[in-house]
Parts: sequence; structure tokens; C-alpha cells
Amino acid sequence: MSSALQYLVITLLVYFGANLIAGWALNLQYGVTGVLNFGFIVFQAVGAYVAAVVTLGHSEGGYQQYILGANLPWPLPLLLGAAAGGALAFAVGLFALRPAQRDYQALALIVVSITATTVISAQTGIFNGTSGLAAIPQPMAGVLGLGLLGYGWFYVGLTAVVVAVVFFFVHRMTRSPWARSLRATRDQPAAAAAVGIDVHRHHMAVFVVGGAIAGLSGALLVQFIGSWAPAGWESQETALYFAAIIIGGRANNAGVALGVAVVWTGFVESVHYLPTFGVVGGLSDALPAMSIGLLILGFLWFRPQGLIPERRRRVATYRRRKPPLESLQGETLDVAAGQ
Amino acid sequence: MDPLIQTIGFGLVTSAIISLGAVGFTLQFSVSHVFNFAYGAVMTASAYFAYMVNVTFGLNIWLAVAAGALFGAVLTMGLQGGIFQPFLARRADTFTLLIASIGAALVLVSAISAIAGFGAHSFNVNFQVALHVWKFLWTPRELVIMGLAVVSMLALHATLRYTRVGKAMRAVADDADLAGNSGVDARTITLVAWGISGLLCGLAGVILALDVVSFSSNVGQSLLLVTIAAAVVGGIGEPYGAILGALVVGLSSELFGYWVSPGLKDVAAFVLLIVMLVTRPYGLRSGERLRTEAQSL
Repeated sequence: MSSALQYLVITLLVYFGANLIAGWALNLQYGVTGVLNFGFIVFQAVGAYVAAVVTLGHSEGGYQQYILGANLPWPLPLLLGAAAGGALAFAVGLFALRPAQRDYQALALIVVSITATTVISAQTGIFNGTSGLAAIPQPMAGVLGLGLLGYGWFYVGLTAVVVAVVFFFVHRMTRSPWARSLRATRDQPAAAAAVGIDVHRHHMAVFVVGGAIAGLSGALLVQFIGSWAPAGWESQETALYFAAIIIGGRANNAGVALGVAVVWTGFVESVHYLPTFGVVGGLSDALPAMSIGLLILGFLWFRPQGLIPERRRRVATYRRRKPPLESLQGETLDVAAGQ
Repeated sequence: MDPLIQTIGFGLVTSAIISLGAVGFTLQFSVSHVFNFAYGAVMTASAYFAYMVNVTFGLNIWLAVAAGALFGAVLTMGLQGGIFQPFLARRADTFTLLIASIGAALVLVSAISAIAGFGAHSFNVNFQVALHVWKFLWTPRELVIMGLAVVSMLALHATLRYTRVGKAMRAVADDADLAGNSGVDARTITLVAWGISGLLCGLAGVILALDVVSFSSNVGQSLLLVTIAAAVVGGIGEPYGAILGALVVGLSSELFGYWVSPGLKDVAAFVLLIVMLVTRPYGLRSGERLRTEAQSL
């Protein structure tokens, strides 16, 4: 492989890893629980920001201003990014998840996302305004002394480790009894509340957990890219994660992986590297968004369960043996028939 | 010239644009219970259509405004018949409708950019001499915008109040099934309501583009949330409330821009929207009827 191609593959792999983690986080919220987090990107962005400032060293003012300057070693920036995502999710969830209707929640969250972009862009003291942060150091780059490509592959490995750890947690979470309650609140909120599940509390919990994982994914990404600006985390990106989940398969971790590969790697990132075919006006620039829009509509109509549907779960152990209750019911039925 | 008075003057112009959009948006919600995120994209599309009539074909600006509004109506009816109605007939849930509207918005906006490019456009109009009206200072462009808004609102009021179609629309908004049982063709009436809403949406898009002078393919989306804010402040699904909401949102965002920072104008509308969603989700004039209606969704 030529080195340019190698670097492209490295970039695509790292982005895929980070987007996959984010996709799983949103899937916990939207796929498993039905919380329409239209402000998802904000929690990723805050994780990225915190990971950036705790590695950039003390802020000396001047061309970039930020808070919390420090030089923390890996993996602390990732963990702090996750903590920041979770903390922000808690704060936002306190008010945004209060309306009972989920479309109202969605509306509140998209507004949070757009307000965040507006305020951060105008605010130079904390977030350095529209120009954002640059020259964010890459973890262990100094110690390892690898070349560009060598370090790239090292980061791919690092990403794979983080993805594996997150998968372990997410997989266990989606199989747990807790997730069964979450699915119940998604499908039958009233019935779930009636059997004693605190719907709001469950949604709050999944909102914070998802926010933390989103923060982690942002941190992972920013340490690779080395820069952070509000324009890179706008609310439209959230729609792409939703598209990935709808296309890949709601509430299915493998499905989400496939969806992220199709939407992010296939449409969004690969397009940057294709030669532009300037047919009419901005067709080549507009084509990815248009295809994703059409895919969303097509999947919602023809295959709402996505490419890999959610696994049907049943309580299998009871069915194996014939329960005594069933024979009893048979008898009463016979009696009823005889009369 | 008092700058505060001038700010209020701007606020009234903004309110006029928002009121058209918000009333249209709320009308769709009242008959179909859809939060239509493609609404902003339709505004943009209508502005571009009017631009085409005005600049490409070189026709009069009034014709262009009318053509843009009609285009908005046709496009909205297309969206309703082609996307929302089929999903509603399937009894699709709120998420599906919301996300379908986002999909439609993506397709529309990218289609506009594909055809017109990403650059900025302006209408071919020339009335820039400022006029004094009492203590306010408005350009004829702004007076036209406010005039159009007032006339449209009066026309809508007359339609809803005094025509059979308007009566049927109110019946469908109240309870579609019941209206159907009483002999109202609910499907047609819904489509007509979407058509009227599209007319307002298109008009809002064109006058927004006129007001900002130079517009590009995100012009409608940029006003969408402010529009929704006005609709929610007025009580979503209530056309008269939406006018009140537009005044509140338009004036408060201009005043916020004046007192705090012009770059943060929209933030006032957004904060208002969130506060309303959290504390009074049925609007300033929320009545018991609306509350029960929303709970039965």
C-alpha cells in the first residue's frame, strides 16, 4: 500500500471506531429506550473539548484561550471526557427530559444543541470562539517516537481496544434485566409505569450513560484529529447517527456497526476523498446528504427494523417444561366445554 | 432617533415573518399532529422558486412572491400526500414521523443546493428609501412584509371563521374521527389544511429571503426553530396563539439582541422555547381542552 492510501485507511478506521462507540451510545438512548436525543452531538463535543484541554497544558491566553489547562497522561483524558459527557447529560436531562411527550423532549434537545453552537461560537474566553482549539497533543506520541504511519496504526490499535471495552459494557447492558425495563419503557411506557418501573428515572439513567459514552467517543476522536472547533459538532451530525441506527437496525449493536459503516464511512467520510464530479452546481457536495435522506425515508417505509433487526427476546426457560398450570387450564377448559 | 424604538420596529418586522411561519406550522400540527422538520426546507425552496421567477425569468417581485407562496403550497401538499399521509395511515409513531420529516428535509435542502449551488442570492428589488411611520423608521420592504403578514392573517381568520372549509378544518383539528363520522371528508380537509399551511410557509420563506436581503440554502432552516418557538409559546396547534407567540418571540429576540449581544439574538427565542416546553408545554393560553387532547395522543 502506498503511504497515502495507508493513511486514508488509518483515518477511516479511527473515525469508524469513534463513530461506532457514539452510535452504540445513541442506540442505548434511542434504539433500546426510545429517548430521542436530538442534541446527541453536544455530549460528544463536550467530551472532546475536555479531553483536549486536559492535554493542552496551561492556557497562556493569546491565540487560544481555554479553561482547565493540564497535561494529563492517557487514558485520563478519555475518562474525563466521558465524565464530562455524563455530567452535561445529567444537567441537560434535568430539564429536557421533563416534558412527558417524547417529541417535546426531542425539540428541547435539538434547541440545546443549536444554542450550544451559537453560544460557544460567540464565547471566546472559555471555548475560544469559532476558531476553537488546535495542536492538541496525541497520546504517547512523544514517548513512542514512531513515524506518521507507525503512530497511525498504533492509534488504530488504541481505538480497537477502546471499542472492545465499550462493546463489552454496552453488550452486557443491552442484555441485562435493566435493559428489559428500558425496552418496556420504550414500547409500553404506561404499562411499564403500571408495573412499577420509574420511566423518568430510567430515561435519565440511560441519558447519562449514553452521554458519558458519547463524551468518550469525542475524546477518542479529538486526540487523533488534534483540533476542536464548534463548527465540527453541529446538530446536523446528530441526524447522521440517527440515520446509521435506522439503516443498520434499532436496538441491535451489530446492526448499528453496519449502519455506522454505511452512513459514516460509506457516505460521509469516503466522499471527502473522492474526486469531485462537478456535474451541475453543487451536486457532488449535495449528493451524500440527499442519499442519506432518501435512505432514511426508504428504510422507515420498507424496512423499519433496519438491516439487522432487533433480536426477539423471550423468556425461554419456562417454555421447556410443561408447566402444571397449563394442564390445569386444559382441565377447566374441558369442563367448560362439557357443560 | 431612539435606538430602542428602532429595535422594537425591527422586532415587529421579525414578528411578522415569524407569525406567517408559525401559523402555518401550527396548522399542520393541529390537523395531523406532526412536528414537521421539513418545514424550514420548504421555506427555503419557496424562496428559491420566487428568486427564479424574479431574477431568472425577470418578472415582477409581486408575481414572484405569489409564485413562491403557491410553490410552498404545492410542495407541502406533495409532502403530506407522498410522505406524511402514508405514514399516518399506517399509524406510525411520533419518532417515525419526526425522523421521516428530517429525512425529507435532508433531501429537499440538498436538492436545492444541487440545483442552485451554495452561494448567496438576492432578489431584484429596489425600494430602500426609509419611511417614517409615527416614531418608527421602516424601509418600504419592511412595510410590505408587515402588510403581507397582516393581510394573510386576516384572510386566514376569515377562512377559519366564515367558510365551510374552515369550519371543517376546525372540526378535523378537534377530532378527525368524529369529524369523519359527521360527514366531513377528513382526508381532503387535511390536505387542504396542509395546502393553506404551505401557502403561509412559502410566503414566510419568500419574505424572509426579502428581509435578510442576501440568502442561501439554509435560510429557511435558520428560522425553523424560532418559528417552532413561536408556535409552542402560543400553544402548539392554535393558530391565534401562534400570532401572539410570534410577537413575543420576535420582540424578545430583537430586544435581547439589543441589550445583550446581536450575535445571540436567537438564543432568547431558544431559551423561551425550552422554558415553555418544560413548564407550560401547552402554551401561554393553555386551556384544559388542549391538555386533554395532547394527552390522548
